[in-house]
Amino acid sequence: MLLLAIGDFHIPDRASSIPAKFTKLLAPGDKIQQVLCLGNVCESPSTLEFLKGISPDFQMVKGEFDRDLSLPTSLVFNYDKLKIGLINGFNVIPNADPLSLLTQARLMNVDVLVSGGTHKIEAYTLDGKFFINPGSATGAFTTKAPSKADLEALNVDKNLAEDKEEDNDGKEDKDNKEREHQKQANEKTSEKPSPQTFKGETSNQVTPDEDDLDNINTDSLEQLDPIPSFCLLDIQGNVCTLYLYTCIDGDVKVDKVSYRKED
Amino acid sequence: MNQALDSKTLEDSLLIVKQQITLMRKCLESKNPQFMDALKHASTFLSELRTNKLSPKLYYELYVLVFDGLAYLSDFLKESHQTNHLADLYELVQYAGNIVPRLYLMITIGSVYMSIENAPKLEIMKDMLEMSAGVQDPIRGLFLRYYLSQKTKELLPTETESELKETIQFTITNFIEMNKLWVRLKHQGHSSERERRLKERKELQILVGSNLVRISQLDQIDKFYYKESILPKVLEQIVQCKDSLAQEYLLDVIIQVFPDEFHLLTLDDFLQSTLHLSEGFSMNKILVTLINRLIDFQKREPANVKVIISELSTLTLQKDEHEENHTEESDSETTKPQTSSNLFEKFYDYSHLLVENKPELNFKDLSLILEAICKLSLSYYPQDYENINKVFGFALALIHQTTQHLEIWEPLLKTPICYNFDPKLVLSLDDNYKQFASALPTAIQSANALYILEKFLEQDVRLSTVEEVKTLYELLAVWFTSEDSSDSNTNSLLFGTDSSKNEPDESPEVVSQYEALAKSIHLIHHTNPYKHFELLEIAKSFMSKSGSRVRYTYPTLLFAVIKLIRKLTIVQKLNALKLKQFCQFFSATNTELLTLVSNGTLQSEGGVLAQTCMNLNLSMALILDQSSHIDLSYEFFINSFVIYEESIVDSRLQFQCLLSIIGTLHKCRNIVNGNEDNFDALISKTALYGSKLLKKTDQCRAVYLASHLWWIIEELDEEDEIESETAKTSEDELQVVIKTDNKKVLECLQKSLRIADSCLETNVSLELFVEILSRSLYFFIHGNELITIKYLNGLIELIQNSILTIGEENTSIDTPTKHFQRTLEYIRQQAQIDSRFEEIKDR
Amino acid sequence: MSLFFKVPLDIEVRLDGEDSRETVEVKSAKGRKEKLPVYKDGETVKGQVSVRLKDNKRVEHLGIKVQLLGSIETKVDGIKNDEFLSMAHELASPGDLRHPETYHFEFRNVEKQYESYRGKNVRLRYYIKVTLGRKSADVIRERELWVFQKNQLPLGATKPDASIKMDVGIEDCLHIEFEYSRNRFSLKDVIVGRIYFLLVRLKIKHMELSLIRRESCGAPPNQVNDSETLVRFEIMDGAPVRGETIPIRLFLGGFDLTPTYRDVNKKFSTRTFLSLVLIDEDARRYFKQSEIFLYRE
Repeated sequence: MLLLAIGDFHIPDRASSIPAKFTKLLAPGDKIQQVLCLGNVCESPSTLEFLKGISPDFQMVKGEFDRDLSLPTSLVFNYDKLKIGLINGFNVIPNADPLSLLTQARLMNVDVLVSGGTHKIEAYTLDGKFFINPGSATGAFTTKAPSKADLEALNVDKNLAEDKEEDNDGKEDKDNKEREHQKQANEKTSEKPSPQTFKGETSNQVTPDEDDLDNINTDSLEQLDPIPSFCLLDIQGNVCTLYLYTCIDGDVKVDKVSYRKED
Repeated sequence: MNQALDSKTLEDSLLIVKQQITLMRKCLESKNPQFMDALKHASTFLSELRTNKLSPKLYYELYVLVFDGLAYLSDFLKESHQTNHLADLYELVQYAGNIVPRLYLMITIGSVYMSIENAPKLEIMKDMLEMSAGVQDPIRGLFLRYYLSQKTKELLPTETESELKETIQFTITNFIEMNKLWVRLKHQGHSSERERRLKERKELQILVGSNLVRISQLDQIDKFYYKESILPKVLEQIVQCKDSLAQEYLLDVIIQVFPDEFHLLTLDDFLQSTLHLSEGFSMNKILVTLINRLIDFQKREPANVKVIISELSTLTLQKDEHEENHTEESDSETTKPQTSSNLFEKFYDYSHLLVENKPELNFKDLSLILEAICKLSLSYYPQDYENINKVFGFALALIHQTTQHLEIWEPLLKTPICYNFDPKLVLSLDDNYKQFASALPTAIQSANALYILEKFLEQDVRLSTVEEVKTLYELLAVWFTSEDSSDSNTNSLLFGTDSSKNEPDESPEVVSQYEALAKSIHLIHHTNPYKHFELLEIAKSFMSKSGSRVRYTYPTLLFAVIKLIRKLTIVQKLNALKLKQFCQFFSATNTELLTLVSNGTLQSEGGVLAQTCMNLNLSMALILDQSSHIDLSYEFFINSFVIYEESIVDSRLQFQCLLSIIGTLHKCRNIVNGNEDNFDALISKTALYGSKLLKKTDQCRAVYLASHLWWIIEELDEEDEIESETAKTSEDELQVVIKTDNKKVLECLQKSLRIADSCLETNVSLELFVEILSRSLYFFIHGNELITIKYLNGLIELIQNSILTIGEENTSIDTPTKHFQRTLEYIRQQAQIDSRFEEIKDR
Repeated sequence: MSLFFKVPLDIEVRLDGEDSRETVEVKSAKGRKEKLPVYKDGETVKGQVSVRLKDNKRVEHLGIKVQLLGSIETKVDGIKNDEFLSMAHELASPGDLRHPETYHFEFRNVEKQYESYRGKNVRLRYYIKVTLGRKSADVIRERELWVFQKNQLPLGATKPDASIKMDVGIEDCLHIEFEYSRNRFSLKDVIVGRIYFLLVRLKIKHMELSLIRRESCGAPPNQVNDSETLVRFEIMDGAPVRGETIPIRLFLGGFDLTPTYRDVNKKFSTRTFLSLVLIDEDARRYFKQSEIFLYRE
C-alpha cells in the first residue's frame, strides 16, 4: 500500500508551483492508493486538482492558511496493523515539538503521525512511534527563524563571493565600501555577541544610511528557502517504509527510512 | 461516366496490352529476333493508350503496364544496338500513322539512343520534346510527357555548362507544357463534372511536379544559377497559367523540393510573383509554408543562413548599383523600391503590397500571414522588437477596418509570447500591441493575458524593473477592469447592500486567472529588497483595481513584504524609516482585505479570509520580532488580536486562530526579553481568550496549551554551539531558556482542570483530564518544579476515581479510558529510563 | 486447242548486266508484284534475244526485229495507246530457223524522255518488243523496263525551296496558320513544318496530314481526274488551345510516291497534294490542301 504524504504548498501566497520534477514523478497513475494532504494548499484550485488526480482517494486536513472551513483538522486511518494520524501541525503546541507530537500521537492513538508546518522534511522514531514531516512540497518560505547553521553556510558563501570579487580589479568603490561596512558589522558581532539575536547572531540595530541602501544584494539569501519535499509511505503489515523525496537545485534525491511497529 | 464501365474498359485494354507484350517478347527473344514484328506488337499495345474512356487513375494503371512492356523493348535495344542502328530505327518508327504510339516508340528508342556514347544527345532530347507537342489531349499528353521525363531522367547530360543549360531548358519546357495540359483539363467535359475534374486533376498533379523535382535533383545547379535561370521561368509559367490549384500546388512543390538557401536568395522574386496569382489562390498557405521553412533553416543552420544573407546583401548592392546606372541612362524608373537584405522587411513590405494588390484577400489569411511574419522575425531577429511593433501596428490598422470574426486574430496576438523562447519580449513591445489586444473581444484578451502569464510563470521570468512590472500588468489590464464594470455598479445601484447578491460567484476561469496573477507576484524580484518593495507597490496599484478579487492576490503580496524584511534582517540593512513604510503598506493592504470581510462582501468565505488576515499579521509580528523591532512586532500582535476579536466569529475558527496565536507567540524571542511587560500582556490576553471560547472543550484545551507561553525553552540542534551567555546546560541537554514561569504554568493547568471538571458530559471531562495529565507530564519532564510527583499522582487518582464513578463498563468512556491507559503505559515505559517516573503511582 | 496454236518457239530477252542492275518492284495490273530493271535517261539498252525451237522443228519466219518502245496508255474511252518512242533493229532477215539462235541488240544512248508510271487510268511504259514475223500469227515477246528520270527539276516550282505559308480558317471558329519549309521535295525527303493555332473554337479531336496523288489524263472537256490518298499520318491528338504550335514531320521515303508530272506528252499529269485535315468531335472533317512538287533525286 503506497501513500503520498504531502503538504504546506502555500500556493500562491508563498510559492508558484510544485517543482516540475515532482509533478512528473506524481503523474496520475494507479501506483499511489491514497493521498494524505497536510493542508496549506491555500487558494489554489489547480493544485487541488493536481492532487486529486494522483489518486481518487484524496484526504486532507485544514492548515491555518486554508480557506475551506469544512475541512477536518485531524484524520486517522487504519492500515492493516498500523494506525496513521494526519494533522497540519499548527495545532500542536509548541509547534513541531517532539514531546508534544508524542502526546498528540497518544491522544489520537496512532502509530505513525504525519504532520507539517515546519517546511522541513524529517522522520524519526520516538518512544515506539513514528513521526513524519514531509516538509513543503513547494519549498515555501517559512516565518521560522533561520537556524544558525544555515546562516553560517550563507556566510561562507558570501566570503567566497567576496574573494572572487577581489580578483576582479576594476571594481567600483562603492562595492568596496559596502564590503568594509559589512566587515565592520561582522567584527562588531563577534566582539559582542548579544542575547537578542538569532541564536546568538547579530541583532544590533544596524541602521545603514540612505546611500548604502542602494547597494544591497540579497541574491545569496535565496538558498535559505526551504527545500521542496514530500514523502511516500509504503505500508506492509506492521512495517512502514518511508521514502523521502527532496528537490535540490532541480535534482530529485530520495532517502529511505523504515519503521517497524513493536508488538 | 460509369465506373463499372470504366474498369471494364481498363480490363479489356490491359488484356490486349498483356497479350501484345507477350508476343513482342517472343519476337525479341527468338534466336533470330523479328524486330520489325516486335515493333508492330509494341505499336499495337501502345494504341491502347489512345483511349479516352479512362479516368486518370485507371489510365495510370494502363500506363504502368505499357511502361513495363516498353522497358523490354528498351532493354533489347540497349543490348543489340550494334545490329539495329538506332538512328535508323528512330526514323523508322516515325512512319507510325498514329501519333501516340509513334511518340512512345520514338521516346523509347530515343532514350536508348541517348544512352549510347557519342550519340547526339542534345538533338534527340530536343526532338523528342518538340514532337511531343503533337499530343494535345491533357491526359494522354501528360502521361506521354511524363514518360519522356521518366525515360530521360538518368540520361540528361550535365557535363558542360551548355549541356546543363539544355538539360534545364528541356526539363523546364516539359514542365511548362505539362502544366498547360494539366490546367487545360479543368475546362474539359461538362461543367457539372467540375468537382470530378478537380479530383482528377489532383490525382495528376504529381506528374507535373515531377519535373521540378527533377531539376532540384541536379547537383550542378547552385543557388545563383537557380535564381538567374530556373526560378524566373518556372514562376512565369505559374503566374501565367492562372489556375489556383496549379499555383498552389506548384509553389508548394518549389518550396518543398529546393533547398532553403535557394529560397532565401530568391525571396524577392518569389514574393513578387505571388502578387500576380489568381484570386482563388490561398496565399497564406504558401507563405506560411515558406516562412516556416526559413525558420527551420535558421534553427537548423544558423551559420549557413548568416552567410547567405550576407551574400544576399552584396547581391542586392550590386543590383542596386546596376539599377542606378540604368536609371542614369534612361531616367525612366526613378522610384525603384529599395530592396533590402533584411528578411523581415522583405516580408513586411510584401504584406503591404499584398493588401494593396489583392483586395480580395480576407482577414483570416492576412492574420495568418502576419503571424508567420512575426514568427520569422522572432526567429531571425530575436532582439528586434521594432519588427514586432511594426507587425502589430499594421494589424491594428487592419483590425480597425472590420468588426467581424475578430477571433481570427487570436493566434497573432499570442505569437510573440507563444513563439519566443524569452517571454520578456512581450514587455518590450510598444503600444501597438496593447492597442491591438484591446481591440479584440474581452474573452480573447483575457485568455491571452492568462497565456502570457502562464508563460512567464512556466519559465520563471523575473521582473526586476518598474517598467517590466508595469508593462506586464498593463498587458493583463483586462482582468482589472472587468469585474468593476459589471459587478460593483449594479450592486450599489440596484441592490444596495444586499449582501446575498454581493457574493461573487466566481467562474473557474476567473479563479485560475487570479491564481496566476497571485503567482506573478513571485516573479517580481530585485536583489535590493528596497527596490523590490517599490516594485511590489506598483504591483499592488494594479491589483487594487480588481475589487473583491484582491483576496486572491493580496496575501501573496503581503508575504512578499514579510520575506523582504527577513532578508534585510539577515544582511543587517533594515532601515527603520523604510521599515515603517513596509509596515504601513502591510497594514493598509491587510486592512483592505479585512474590509471585504467586515462590509460583508464575502459572506461564507469571510471568516476564513479573516483567519488569513490574522495569520498574515502574526507572521509579520514574528518576523519583526526576529528583526528585533519589538515595538512594531507588538503592534502587529495587537492588530492580530483586534482581528481575532472583531472578525473571527465562528467558534471553530476562533479555536484555530488561538492555536496560531499561541504557536506564534511561542516562537518569539526578542520581545520576550526586550519588553517583558508587553509580552506578558500578550500572553495573558491569549490565555484569557482561551477561557472565553464558546465550547468548554476548546476553552480547556486552549488554556492548557496557553500554559506553554510561560514555559519557552529552546532546544538547540546538536550541531549548534552554545554562544549565548544565557545558555544554560541542564544535564546533557542543550537548552536556551527564554521564559520559565512555574507558577503561571501551574495556574493554567489548574484552570483548565476546573474547566474540564465543569463539563457536563463526564466522558468529555474525563478525556480532558487525561489530556491535562499528558500536558502535566510534559512540564514534569521539562522540570517545572511545581508539577510534582504529588501533583501527577493527584491527577491520576482523579481520573481513576472518575472512571470508577462512571463505571468501567460504561462504553461511553471507552475512548478516554484507553487514552488514559496509553498514558499510564507511557509512564511505565519512561520509568525505565527516567528514575523520576518511578515514583508515579499506578495501579 | 492450245496444242494446235502452240507457238513452236521460245523467245527470251536478256539484258546485259541484268543480275547486277537496280530493279524496282511494281504492282502489276493483276496485283502481283513484278521486278523490273531500272534504266536512266540516255542509257544504252543492250542485250540478247534468244530464240529456241521447240521440238527441234524448223521454223520459217518473215524476219525478226527488236524494238524499244515508249508508250502512254490511257483508259479514257477505251484504251488508247500513244507511242512517243519507237526504235527498231532488224535481227534476222526472213528465212528458216533450224537451230536456236542468239541475236545481240543495242539501242545506243536512248533518250528516255519520261518516267515510267503506272496509275489508275494511265500507264507510261518502256519495253523491248521482239517480233518474229510469220505467215500465220507473229510471235511477239515483250520485256518491260522501268525508267527513272533522276535530277529532274519539278515542274511548276517557280522558286526553288520556297516555303509554303498559309492562313486558313472558318470565321469565328478556327484560325490556323501553317507552314511547310518548302513546297518541293525529293521522294526521299521529309516534310517539315508547323501549325500554329490562332483561334480554336472547334472541338478538335485530332489532326492528320495526308498525301493525295491526283492523276489527270485527256484534255478538257474529256479530262479524267483521279485522286488517291497515299498516306494518312496523324500529327495531333486532342484539342489544342490558342497559341499552340504543332510540329509536322513526315518522312516520304517509305511511301510509294510519284514525282510531279505535268502534261506528259500532252497526255496526262500526276500531282501530289498535301492535305491538312482536322477532325472534330462530331467527326466532321475540315481540310486544306496545297500542292507539293515531288521530284526524284
